[in-house]
Amino acid sequence: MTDLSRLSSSVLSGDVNTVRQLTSQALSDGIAASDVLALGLIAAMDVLGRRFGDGEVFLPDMLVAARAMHAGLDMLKPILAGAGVAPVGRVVLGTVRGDVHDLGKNLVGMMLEGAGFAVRDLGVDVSPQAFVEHVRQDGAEIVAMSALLTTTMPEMKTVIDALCEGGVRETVKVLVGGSPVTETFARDIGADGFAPDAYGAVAVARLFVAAT
Amino acid sequence: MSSDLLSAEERLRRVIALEVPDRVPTAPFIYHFAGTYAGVTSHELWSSRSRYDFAMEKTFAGVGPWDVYYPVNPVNPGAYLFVLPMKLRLPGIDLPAESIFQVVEEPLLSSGIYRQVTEDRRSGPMRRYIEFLLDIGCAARAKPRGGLAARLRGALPLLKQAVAWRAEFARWAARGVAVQHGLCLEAPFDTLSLSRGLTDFSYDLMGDPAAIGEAVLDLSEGFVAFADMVTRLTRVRRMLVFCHRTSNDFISPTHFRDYALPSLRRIVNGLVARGITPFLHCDGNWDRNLEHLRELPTGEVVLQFDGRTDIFRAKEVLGSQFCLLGDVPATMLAFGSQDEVETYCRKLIEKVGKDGGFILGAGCEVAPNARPENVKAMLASVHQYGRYS
Repeated sequence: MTDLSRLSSSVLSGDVNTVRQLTSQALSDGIAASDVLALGLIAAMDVLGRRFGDGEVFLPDMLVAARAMHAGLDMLKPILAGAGVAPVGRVVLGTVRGDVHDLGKNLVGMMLEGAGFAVRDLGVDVSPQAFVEHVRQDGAEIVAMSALLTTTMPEMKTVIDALCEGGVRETVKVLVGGSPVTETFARDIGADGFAPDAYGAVAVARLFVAAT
Repeated sequence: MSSDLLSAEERLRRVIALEVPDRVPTAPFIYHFAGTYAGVTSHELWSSRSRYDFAMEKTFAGVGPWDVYYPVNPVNPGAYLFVLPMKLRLPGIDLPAESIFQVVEEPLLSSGIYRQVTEDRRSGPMRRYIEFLLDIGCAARAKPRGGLAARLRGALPLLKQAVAWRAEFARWAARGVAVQHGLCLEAPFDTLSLSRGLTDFSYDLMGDPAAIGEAVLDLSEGFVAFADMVTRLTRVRRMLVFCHRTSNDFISPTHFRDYALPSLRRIVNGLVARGITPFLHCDGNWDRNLEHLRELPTGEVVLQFDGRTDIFRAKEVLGSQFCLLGDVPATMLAFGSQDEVETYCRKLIEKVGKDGGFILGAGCEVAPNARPENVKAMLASVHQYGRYS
């Protein structure tokens, strides 16, 4: 029987080939895809997240681990979908209108997927209407927005207003982030949460889901 | 101001040397804000010298004065290579004219660049460094990417920039405003991170960090020689070294110490040996890099922080060695109150400015949408709270 702790270790060390091999082996051994995901892949990203929070690892460690994690996740996705396994939560993610920066947004998407969330990445320069439409379409529980410029930060408030006008504000939690964004700003515009970094976004998203 | 005892240039020199001047000097990185304040679009800022000058004049008169002119604005799109060596979205071309430029995180260079840098011995260090910059410039454009025409198209904007700066700096100096630097340029480590793209660069760093360390060390000598040449041309022997990607937001303190710092140290020492004062523009969180910076020469370097580094701790750790610049956050200037800005500036002046060695400025850049009354409060605070005698 495949040792899922070995799979976790391979994710932590960023060993893509071993992750693929052990994921395949675990499935062949009859381990449920949902267990491979939770006990092998997500468990590793949780360990990494804690280490990141404690300042033991840094962004490059996170990126190589996320790459390895996704190598396993890509193999599991069709099986999980076929078995009707629901994700931890559904997130609509994007950089707000007028802003084409995607570095932070991509990191958040990668980490949320690594934590078992289904992420609809709308890309950059996303209109408020697009956020509203995809919340409706996907039945998302979370809207996660990013802005890198002080000039585009007010657009986050516009999105929240659009969610209200579109009648979906009560159905979603709003998470904001980006280099110039602060907790005070998040509170002032009526967001439900703020995260200073990608792993912080995962922690807040989990709290949102737990609260619902 | 009437009660000032020193010229702006002398005030700046004294704080760099860790001496106590008459008062804290100001150096706001302000050109995008100047455009907004004066009703000049970002497109006009870089495409029309007269509109840029108009914006700066109006801002200097309206919210200033400031002691130190912080020059960054490129005079043409090609010269952005000095500032951010990556693919850009430019106002008036790719973005609305009033938007500020934005960057695209996309690899311009392959992972073979490190070996290419260290193995290329066809010319001297400066020529190789310029070729390296032009390679990035060519890769950032749609076409042509190669050949003499592409190289010339890359080199001419840089030359045009240096010539434009020389005339502009002379004008600021003539009116009694010190010019902060005669050249701004991204450090080699950061240049590679930006032009490889953060994700690929991070994979490279985790896979073969020594290759990166060797490449950036190799580029350092040419970097210094290039800085020497350009600052002679612009006649300001100070230089802004952008370190956009060396913070702990992007790399570990160990990676910094082992693969970025050796090059940075070589650059700083090389510049200082040539009589050029380096200003390190340390964006992001440098909290765990601070101790390593002690290796740099005392009284010869200015460190600018952008609000993510704890500048008060930086004063404790590095205040006896380096002048610090900063760090009123862009977000505070854009969305905070005048009282909040004034209170924060007073705290900076009293704690970071204690016994000199401090320049008040924005953390990185004054936000384009900063409230004018906040910018004015920041610049006025040194007259109210920043006098040493």
